[in-house]
Amino acid sequence: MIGSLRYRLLMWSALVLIGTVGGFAWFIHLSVLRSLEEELDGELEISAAALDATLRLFSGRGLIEDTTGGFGNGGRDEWAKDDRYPPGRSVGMGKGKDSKGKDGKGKDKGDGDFMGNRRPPPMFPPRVWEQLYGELRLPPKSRISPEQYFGVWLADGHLLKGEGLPEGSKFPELEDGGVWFRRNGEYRELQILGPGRSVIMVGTPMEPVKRRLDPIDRNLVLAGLGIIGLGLLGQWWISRQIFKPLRAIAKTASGLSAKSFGGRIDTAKVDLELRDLAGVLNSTFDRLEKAFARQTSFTADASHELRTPLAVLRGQAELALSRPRENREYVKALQVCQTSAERMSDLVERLLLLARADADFPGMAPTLVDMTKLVVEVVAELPEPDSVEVATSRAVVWGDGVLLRQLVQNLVGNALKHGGRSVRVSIRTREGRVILKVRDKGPGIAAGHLDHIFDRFYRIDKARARADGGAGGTGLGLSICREIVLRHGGEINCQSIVGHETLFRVELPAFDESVENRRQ
Amino acid sequence: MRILVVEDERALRSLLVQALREDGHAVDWSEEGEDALHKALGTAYDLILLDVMLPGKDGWEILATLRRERATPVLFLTARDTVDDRVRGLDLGADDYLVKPFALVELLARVRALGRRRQGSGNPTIQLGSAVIDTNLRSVLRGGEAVALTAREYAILELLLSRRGEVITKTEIYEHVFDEQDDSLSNLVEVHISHLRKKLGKELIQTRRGYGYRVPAEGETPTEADEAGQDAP
Repeated sequence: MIGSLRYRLLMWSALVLIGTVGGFAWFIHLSVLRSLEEELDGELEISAAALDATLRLFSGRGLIEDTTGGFGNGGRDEWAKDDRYPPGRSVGMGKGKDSKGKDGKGKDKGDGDFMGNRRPPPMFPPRVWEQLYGELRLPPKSRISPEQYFGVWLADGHLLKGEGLPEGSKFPELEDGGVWFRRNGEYRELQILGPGRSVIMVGTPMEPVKRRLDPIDRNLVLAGLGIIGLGLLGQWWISRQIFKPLRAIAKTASGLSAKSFGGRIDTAKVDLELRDLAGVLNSTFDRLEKAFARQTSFTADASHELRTPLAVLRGQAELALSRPRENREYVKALQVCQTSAERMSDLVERLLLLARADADFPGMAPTLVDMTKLVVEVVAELPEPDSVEVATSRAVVWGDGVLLRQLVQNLVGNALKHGGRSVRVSIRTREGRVILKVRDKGPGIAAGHLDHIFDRFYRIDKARARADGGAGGTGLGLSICREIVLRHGGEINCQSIVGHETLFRVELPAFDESVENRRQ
Repeated sequence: MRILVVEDERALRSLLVQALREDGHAVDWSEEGEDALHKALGTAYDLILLDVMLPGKDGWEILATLRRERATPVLFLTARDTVDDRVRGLDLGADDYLVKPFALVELLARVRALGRRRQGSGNPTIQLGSAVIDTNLRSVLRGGEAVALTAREYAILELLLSRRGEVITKTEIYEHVFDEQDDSLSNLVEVHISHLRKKLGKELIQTRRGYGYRVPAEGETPTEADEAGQDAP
């Protein structure tokens, strides 16, 4: 599975989908939460404003004043030092609230345990206190925060009235006049400074917000999962579509074999991105087909070439043995056998050389080869060296001496065979190339043959090649020459004027002696 | 039989010619397509051994052209042995096919078989009067005793037997029994015929003066012909 490109594609697109859809859902969740909180805060502000307004009514009578003196916190200091939110000021014992459901809380609110705290501050006449206590209440109808609670403290920390305060609520510390929102555990609270540095705190449990958010979140998750699922399904289908042409290509390729190289990928039907691949594959198939065809015809030709001398060898022996004969006849038969055997071994040598050429001449041992010397030597070894005219100047190449000798031998031998006595060989160096020319005044080669003379087993005149018997009659000499030249990074070509002359021209990279001298 | 060998490989050609001659055939040869076709069209050969790969015209072309005029049996000799090659040769009208390298005895056997097929009889033994001729062994028995025949004599007998009851002219005998290198001395056929008569019995080879010679057809009672015993028609 891990090895499957399609599987990995699916995995990646799943990751991307989960990332984007999840991110988007999270963003929506936060936005909704924020807008709900803003609404909630608005409601808290309204409540606080209402309480503030009530307090101000009474502060007009001089009842609510800052008795702590100035702006300082006076009496508050002592707890402020202990802890930031000291528990000591906690007001209601609101036990019910701890174990609360909303209902229980509502019940406790205002009455119950708070009754014990319901004692007027010293300066309040009891009647006014009662009145104030009664009027300090939350406005009705809060949409999101129906379960608000509040507390009103005088500047000295005396809790004027607390309603539904959660356990642990304490006199809030306020540095300066301002509006403070804060989160207090499960609750959201707003504190403002009222008249006479009194403190008004309104709070509400966050739970209703969560309650309103939950279905939205649930829908978001469902929708997100749906989108991811659909996306993956789509991706699966798309990847199928993407790999379809690849499968078609694979099918075509697997249909090919050494025996039938007919099939090709239809590039017109392949998508743009795969067209290059299909083209490359098709041209590879073409090359393979050609290589196979070449190999097949090479094998067929080789066996064909071996069969004729073999037939002679076998037939001659059979004939000689078929009846008693005179010695003279036996000698003649053995001579024929010998010639055939020689021809076969020559052919086999050449075939082996070509096979080595196909394997890039393993064991080729390059050294400095003095081509001038080599040409002179080859000509000197000829049965009639005088029949070849030689023109030389200095020419050194980096290559395999044995192979290069074979090259010169083949070319000169070929020229002698076809050109009779007027053969001219020249070798020289020009512009970093060693140029070997072998020219004969033979019958020439017709243009139609020129393209093929380097092909294996190609013969212009089969009869003459056969009549000559041995070396050079195999149709392999020139193809061997070409292999040797190519292996040395050179070029070989042939020009011919029918009835006039034939010129073989070999170009090899010259060995750069100046570089070598500098190195030493 | 008179056979044309068409083969460009000199060693193989001379080998074939020698082997066929030693087997009692009259053999001509050619090493080149045009010449081979010319000969094949000009002479009534009993068989042509044809190499496929030839300079000039190749074996296929020669066969195709030849078949338009003559039904001479053709045995293909080739180094190409794919099924396609064989089918092509046989479809063009070749009678047999032999792939190089071949055993000489097999070649000679196939040549004899093609000769028999030409006579319209697949039976290698032929009864002629009191003589029994075995075309495989190239031997003749007369009353249970072997008769020694020279290759030429046997060849003439075989030719006469191949068309029993028919009169075969001296020219035909020349054409089928002697190759182009033989000196066609005018009385050579007569000499061979007279030897055959001595060895097999006079009544078996009849002379039709002015026409040629014949052996009696199967079931025909050998009778002394008018000029029986005389050598010249």
